[in-house]
Amino acid sequence: MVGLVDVISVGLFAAALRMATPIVYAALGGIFSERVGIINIGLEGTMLASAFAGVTASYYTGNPWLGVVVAVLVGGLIGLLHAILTVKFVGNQIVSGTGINIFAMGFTAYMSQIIWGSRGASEGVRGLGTWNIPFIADLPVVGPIIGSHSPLVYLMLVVTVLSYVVLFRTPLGLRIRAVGEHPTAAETAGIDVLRVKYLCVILSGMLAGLGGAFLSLGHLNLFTRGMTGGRGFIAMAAMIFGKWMPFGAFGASLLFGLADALQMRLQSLGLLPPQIILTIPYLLTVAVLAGVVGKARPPSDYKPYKRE
Amino acid sequence: MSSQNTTLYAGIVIALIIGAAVGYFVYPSMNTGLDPNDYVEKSTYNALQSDYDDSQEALIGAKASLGGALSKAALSDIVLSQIKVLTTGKKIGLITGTGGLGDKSFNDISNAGAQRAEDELGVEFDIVQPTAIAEYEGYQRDFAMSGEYEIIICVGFDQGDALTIVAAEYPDQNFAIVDMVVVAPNVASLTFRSNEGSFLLGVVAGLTTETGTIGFVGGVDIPLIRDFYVGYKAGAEWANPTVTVGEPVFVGGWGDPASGKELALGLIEQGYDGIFAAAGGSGLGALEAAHEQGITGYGVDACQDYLHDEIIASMTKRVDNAVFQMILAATTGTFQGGFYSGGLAESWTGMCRLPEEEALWESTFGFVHDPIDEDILAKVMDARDAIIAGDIVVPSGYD
Repeated sequence: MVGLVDVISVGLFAAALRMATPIVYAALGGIFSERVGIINIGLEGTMLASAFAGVTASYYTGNPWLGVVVAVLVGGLIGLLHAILTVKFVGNQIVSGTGINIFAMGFTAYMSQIIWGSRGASEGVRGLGTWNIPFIADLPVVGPIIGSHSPLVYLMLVVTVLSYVVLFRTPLGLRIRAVGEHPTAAETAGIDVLRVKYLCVILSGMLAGLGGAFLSLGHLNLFTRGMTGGRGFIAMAAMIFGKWMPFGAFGASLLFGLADALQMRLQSLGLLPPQIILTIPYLLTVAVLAGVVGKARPPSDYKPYKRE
Repeated sequence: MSSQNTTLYAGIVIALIIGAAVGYFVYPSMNTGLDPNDYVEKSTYNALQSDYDDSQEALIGAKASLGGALSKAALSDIVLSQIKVLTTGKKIGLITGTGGLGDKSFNDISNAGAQRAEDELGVEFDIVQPTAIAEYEGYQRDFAMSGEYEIIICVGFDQGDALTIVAAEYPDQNFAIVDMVVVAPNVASLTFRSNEGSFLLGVVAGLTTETGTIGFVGGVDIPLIRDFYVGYKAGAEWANPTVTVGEPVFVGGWGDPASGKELALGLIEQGYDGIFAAAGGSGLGALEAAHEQGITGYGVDACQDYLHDEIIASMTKRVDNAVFQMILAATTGTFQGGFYSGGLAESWTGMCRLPEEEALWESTFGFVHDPIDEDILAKVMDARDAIIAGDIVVPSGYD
């Protein structure tokens, strides 16, 4: 089995990190939202809309970083919309999220037709390229794995740590968790529950927006219809698998990324039919969720909160 | 109480009698006893008469010019003008795949075929662009129901299920479907021997590679896509016996360029220096990986060489030629349903570096190719001649 050994290479882990990045962003977004008791099933659509917005901004300005900013803003706007619908009007969270997904799918295709005359794909734009991290990039083994990536991959690592710090090491994090676990008690303690909910759902959209920007500007430099390919939903699985903890979600996303990267490399060996190999990530997901996670206790009961 | 009932009954009986009487006198005047289908509208008759007169005139003109110089070009002009008399003003319908116009691929090429029919045959065409598979059936039925189209052309294999239903509902309506087989007497199923065009691409790839290893990224593992792979592999091995064509890898979907790129990066890491991507939108990611890593990439369906300098050739599916032929058949009354298969001999599949195609693609996409190595092109032409002559039998992905 020489082939199998070849597959376990530094390239495999680098690919796993790249494949995990958009999932991590969206999963972190999901965590912030669910920590305040709002299910955000619209992560997929938010990513897609942001991926599109990022490419559009880069297309018109020629500046991919501006594209990232626009992508995050659009993500935040969609988060705000979700917040208004679910917090202010106490609408059904699943319906609102599903609406966002459907809207994003149709709207991006429509706008793509208007801007580039094609419903399928945008023209190529300027992407972010890759950063070579000095010293680390030259190290053996570690260098090829983490030394040379899109800047958004490194930002993802920072954001993961930051999310943990904010949620578990700051008063704001305490408030966020209190709002999700027991909004009435939080209100009694003087926390503005609605404001915290708004903040977190908007933040959730912005994080998903970063995930979308990574796909369209970091990893590639174009937009294609439905290019998120269900990563927003996989992120929700990663979030649950990670028990609504930033590092947990990060680990889960990495596992999914690794399974995907492994699957891709196994295909080229031709040992098994591609159909079977393509199921590996999904089998792994089922196995992990069924066997390893144990009882996943959500951080909130997701009931709509109304002031007395 | 009972008198009220009696009044009611009497009223109903009287109303029935009056109704029957009115019907008895009015109906004959509505129905003159003649079947309206036996007669045509005066306007239709006039149109037919003038069509006939036009064709007679054209015939006389043709005879006159035949008496003069009988060049081949003049003759084909005469034939064309004769055909044009038949086809001018007739309508055809085109239903694109969900990708819609502007996909720089399948749908745009089909549209080009219809456009050509408009220019050369004077037909009129209506085009609709469904956005979801669920919409196909409605559009097909709307077109068929209007009854004004000589032929309705459905682009894309995913229209097959809908067309199976609609074609049975409208047995007098002619249909053509691209890339799919629908068994109905009024449907022409247009299939493309992609393996033959891919063979030529394989010849280019086999002679261009430096590491001696080339690969293939497909969308989904189905015979339609396998057909590209086996042709490509056979072509590469025919041109260069020492080349290794790796196992095909598949994205598992058409709209995931990120996965397409990772698959290609995985191959490049293993020393592949040529990648043929037949994966729709996912393939764009694979071609970008080729560009980023500086290896050669090969496109599919339309000429994708304009994307990056590293894309040096593409296998082409000439849906425009197939669509044009079907429109010609339908508007001249020679349409026949059934199974049509086209490859290199029919110019239904090809390769964008072939001399007769190159200029077409360059003008379509507004770019200029780097010149191709002459030895490679010569080998490609040899392969094409041999395939058309039957000396090379290209394996098929459907076996």
